[in-house]
Amino acid sequence: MFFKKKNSTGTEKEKSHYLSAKETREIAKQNARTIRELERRKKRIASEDEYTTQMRDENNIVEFDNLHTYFFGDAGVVKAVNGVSFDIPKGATIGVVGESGCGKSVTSLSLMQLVQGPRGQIVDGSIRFNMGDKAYDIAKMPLSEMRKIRGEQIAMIFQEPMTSLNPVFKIGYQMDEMVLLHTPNCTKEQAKDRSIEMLKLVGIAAPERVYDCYPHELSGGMRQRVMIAIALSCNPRLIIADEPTTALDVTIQAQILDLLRDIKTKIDGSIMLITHDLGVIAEMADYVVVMYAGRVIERGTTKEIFENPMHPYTIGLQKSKPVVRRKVDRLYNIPGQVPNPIDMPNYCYFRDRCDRCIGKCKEGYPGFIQVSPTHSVSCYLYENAEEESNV
Amino acid sequence: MFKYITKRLLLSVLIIFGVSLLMYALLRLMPGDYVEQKFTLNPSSEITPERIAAMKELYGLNDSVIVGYFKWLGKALQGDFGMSFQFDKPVMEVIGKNMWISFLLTLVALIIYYPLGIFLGIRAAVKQYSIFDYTTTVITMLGISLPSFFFSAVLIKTFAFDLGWFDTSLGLVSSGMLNPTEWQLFWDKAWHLVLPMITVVVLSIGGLMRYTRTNMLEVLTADYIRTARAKGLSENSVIYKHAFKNTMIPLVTMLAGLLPGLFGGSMIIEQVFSIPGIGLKAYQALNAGDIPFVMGYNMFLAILTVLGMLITDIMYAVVDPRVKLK
Repeated sequence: MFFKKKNSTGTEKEKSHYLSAKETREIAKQNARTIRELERRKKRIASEDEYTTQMRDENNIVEFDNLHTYFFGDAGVVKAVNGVSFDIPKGATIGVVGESGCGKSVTSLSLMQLVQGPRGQIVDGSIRFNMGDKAYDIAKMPLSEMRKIRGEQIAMIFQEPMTSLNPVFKIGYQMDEMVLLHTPNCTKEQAKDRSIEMLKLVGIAAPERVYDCYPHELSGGMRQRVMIAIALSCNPRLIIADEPTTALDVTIQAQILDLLRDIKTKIDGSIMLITHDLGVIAEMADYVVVMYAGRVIERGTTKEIFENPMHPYTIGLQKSKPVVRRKVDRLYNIPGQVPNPIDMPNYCYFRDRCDRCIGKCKEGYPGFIQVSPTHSVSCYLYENAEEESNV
Repeated sequence: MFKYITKRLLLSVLIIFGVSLLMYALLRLMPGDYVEQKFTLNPSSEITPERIAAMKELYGLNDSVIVGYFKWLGKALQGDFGMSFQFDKPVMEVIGKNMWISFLLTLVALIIYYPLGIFLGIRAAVKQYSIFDYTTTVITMLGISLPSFFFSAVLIKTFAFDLGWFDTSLGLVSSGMLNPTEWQLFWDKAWHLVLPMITVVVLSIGGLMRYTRTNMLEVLTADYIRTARAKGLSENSVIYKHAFKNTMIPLVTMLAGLLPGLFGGSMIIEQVFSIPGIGLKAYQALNAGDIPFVMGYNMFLAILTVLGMLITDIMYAVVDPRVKLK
């Protein structure tokens, strides 16, 4: 009865804050239709060639190609991941950085097909995963097939060790479960041996005792070690570490990072490390992908990103990192906020916060500009640089 | 653990003492005591005021609330809950005799609706916002909202009067059975308990189903469920192993809280179906102002409630590894 009348003279901003009942209904109807179709696609029984593809480069383990993952919310479609493309080379550690809500976690969850349905759906694009002899497109795989990849090929370490372990099962059970699931003809004793071996590997002093503990009896650092042990127990070829140290204190952080690095060399896998801590990236990663508002804005080797950051957002990020022994009155922060994820504008999403804005920034979203074979940036400022380097 | 239970039991004594005092005071404050109901308000009785006074003295209705209470308590502590005014028998005997039919009714209903409610709740949570979810929600909500006397009346009208499948005129036995065998009597009784059981099931299942659904929805968004999926477990073992065990914690403990309801019977349903259970007796006693019986019945319920609460706490420690009783 008292819905605010749609103000035709209102500015863009006002309209996006108030939805009329009619609009809400329209959104709900639209969402329901799209979700139903996408859910059906996930549950279907598909033949293998439907999701078998060809890797662009055989040396990559994962290639994200124009990935779109949307959340169908009541106020409209939230484009959490909006056309993300980057590669994870075999045996490399790739760091994904960006502020909260920029789509880092959703990208990794898409890779595992773990985006919280039915609201969250992979809508478009492909995630090519190199299985060794063949390649699968994870974005098109049905759930039943995806299960064989989860845990066995790709394992995930989550952000919150305090809540990521099931509180009513013993550590031992939760570890054995994973081993039993992915090892054919494995007996319970073998699984137990394997679990205890893994607990030893991640540096737990009394593995037999921890094996019989419930999660609540362990500290946060211990739980994160257990999570890592579970993730590694089936020798995955790719480990996704989604902010593995965010919930831990600094001394434990260093230990966990050391552990991850050690293990990577031991199992010879790749790591996709998601974090908003640039220090962690500098220490761990070979390649860096910088994300902003659901898109990749800059990617390159760690050296390039740290020594020659190009995108104004990356530069801002670097500046807002506290540095020991440098005295500043106030730590730099990037002005403004991340734009509202519903109805993103059709120009660079960083334009409204950018201090180096040029006239061209109004014209559509900038494409990628290759500055070196490994370094590319999505910003109009460097358009001429590319032409110059080409000449 | 042992220390904890002793402490709780000692505390319960205090609670029960308070409950009984309150109950007795309230009963005595009710307008119209047993003698008045039986004789004074009866227009055909030609009883003299002296006789009424003598009767009141006899039934102990002339004592003040405090004196009356301690007289009752003194006897109750020795295990004597007195004679029921209304039924003319020791209170404990009436309770003991009528308890079992109520117990049977509620127990069978419980065995039907508990697993069913949990199952429906889980399915509704897993298929949130689906047609199945909406249908069960609407139906169970109907069940919760229906008053028991109304729903029983509808059942009786439909199945007993219109369709003639049940003979509800004499309570639990059919009319006109000639020399029935034991077996026939048993089946007859069981058949008569079907309608009341349906009533209990329909009225109770909704709450349980909603409770399970809410719980399950909360558990399904938990981080450890995502971990379980990330391990590559099948959807069934994620739901029926990892999520279910967490959902079960409040459900199992709730079961212990149903103890008083299990033995206490249901006043309204037993009244409507004329089942000679403890609920019906309590209803009649309450109407007649039968203080010893109502006191005895309520003490019975109070003790069961306190026990149920204690068992609930113990159950928590049993099912949830994070809970330790101290």
